[in-house]
Amino acid sequence: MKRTVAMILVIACTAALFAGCGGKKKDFEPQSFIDELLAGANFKDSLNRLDDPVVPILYDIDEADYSEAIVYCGTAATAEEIAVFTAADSAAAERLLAAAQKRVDKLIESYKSYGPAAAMSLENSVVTRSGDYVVVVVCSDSESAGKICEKYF
Amino acid sequence: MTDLKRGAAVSLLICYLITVCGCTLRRTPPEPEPTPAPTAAPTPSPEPTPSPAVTFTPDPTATPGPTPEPTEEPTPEPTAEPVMSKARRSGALIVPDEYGPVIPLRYEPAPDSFFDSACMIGNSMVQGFQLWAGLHNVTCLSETGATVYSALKKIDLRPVRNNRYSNIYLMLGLNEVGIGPEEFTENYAKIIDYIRACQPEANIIAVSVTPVVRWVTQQPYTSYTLENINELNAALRELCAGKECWYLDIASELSDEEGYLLELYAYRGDGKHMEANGYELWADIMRTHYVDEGLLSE
Repeated sequence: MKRTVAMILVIACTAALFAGCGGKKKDFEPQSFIDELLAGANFKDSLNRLDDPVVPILYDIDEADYSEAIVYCGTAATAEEIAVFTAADSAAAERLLAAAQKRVDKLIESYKSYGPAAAMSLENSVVTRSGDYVVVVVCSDSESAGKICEKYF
Repeated sequence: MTDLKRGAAVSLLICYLITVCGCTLRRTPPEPEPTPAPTAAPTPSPEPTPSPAVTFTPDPTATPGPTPEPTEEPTPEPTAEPVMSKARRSGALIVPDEYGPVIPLRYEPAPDSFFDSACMIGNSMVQGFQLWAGLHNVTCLSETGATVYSALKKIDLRPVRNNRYSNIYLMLGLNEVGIGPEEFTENYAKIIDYIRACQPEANIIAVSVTPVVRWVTQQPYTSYTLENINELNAALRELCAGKECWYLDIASELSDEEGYLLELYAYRGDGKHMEANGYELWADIMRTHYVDEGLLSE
């Protein structure tokens, strides 16, 4: 009996120990995330926030699919870009994710002609969904951008 | 006789003698002038060469005539500059006339809604325009790295085939600056022909190749020289004149007095692309230099 209780306690403690190994992700807030990226990742291009009317044209998406879109683009000299969409619902989030992937695929194809460095940054770009958020990060320094993204996703 | 009396007597004698001599001279009649012998009509002599130093000495005995009233020199009327017609009709198109293909400054800026039916086709500069110019209603069709060789193959031109536009802008050249003006215009002409076939009623407007910053032109072995860019633009203007197309000069506004892209507008990373303000200026130029029927009467 004592041995059984001891075994149960050991198993419970072990389970609790492993539960903490995943690491707690940071709470995601779109503008704070973007500010951290702009400050911490080495973007080559000069990124500025796009006017709202340009976003659905650029991504070929329906404005009804998102309640907020924050998109930062460069001068067209590079493919560097940051986009965070707050989807209207789960189905909209899936559509936004598909559109974001399509955009990055197109950018990869376009910027191949600009050389291997440009293509590399695109190959390592982040296109991901976290709940109702859809995120795109294309950075020449994909390593530093990736580390920041990992804190959140 | 004293000296005084003697001197007075001599003076009187001299005066008497002068008086007597003068009377005598007056009394002698002048000799008659000889009658001139009759002569044949004079042979007309060649007109004398006027002496440059002729001066007129007025006769002091002549009775002065009436003083002529001073007449005002008529103020020369300013020579009116010949008015050159800026545009004419060619079928459904509004095409350049005597003024040339460069779109002139218009009296009134166009509202943004004017560009609802505008399309812009070209390289990454068109991508920049789409992102930053602020004319969100312009349909932008572009491909990074597009050239006069690749534009018709790489750019998705389905909207040009399927929609109707009133003005179509072409922006190419920055990726192929070193190919030379003949090669450039030969291939540019093919693009114009294609667009015209798809859009027979659209005004086609070639946008000038934009300048680059000074340090780009100083790179070793670079083809990005002002001379090359200016040559392309000169050839493009000529092509436009021949093809009944228009030319939008944005290069002049973006450059300094030597022709380099102003650092104010340049993306520092490559000195060729522009920051948002450069694209905004491009849009402003479009608003004040546009083609519509009003150009026929301006």
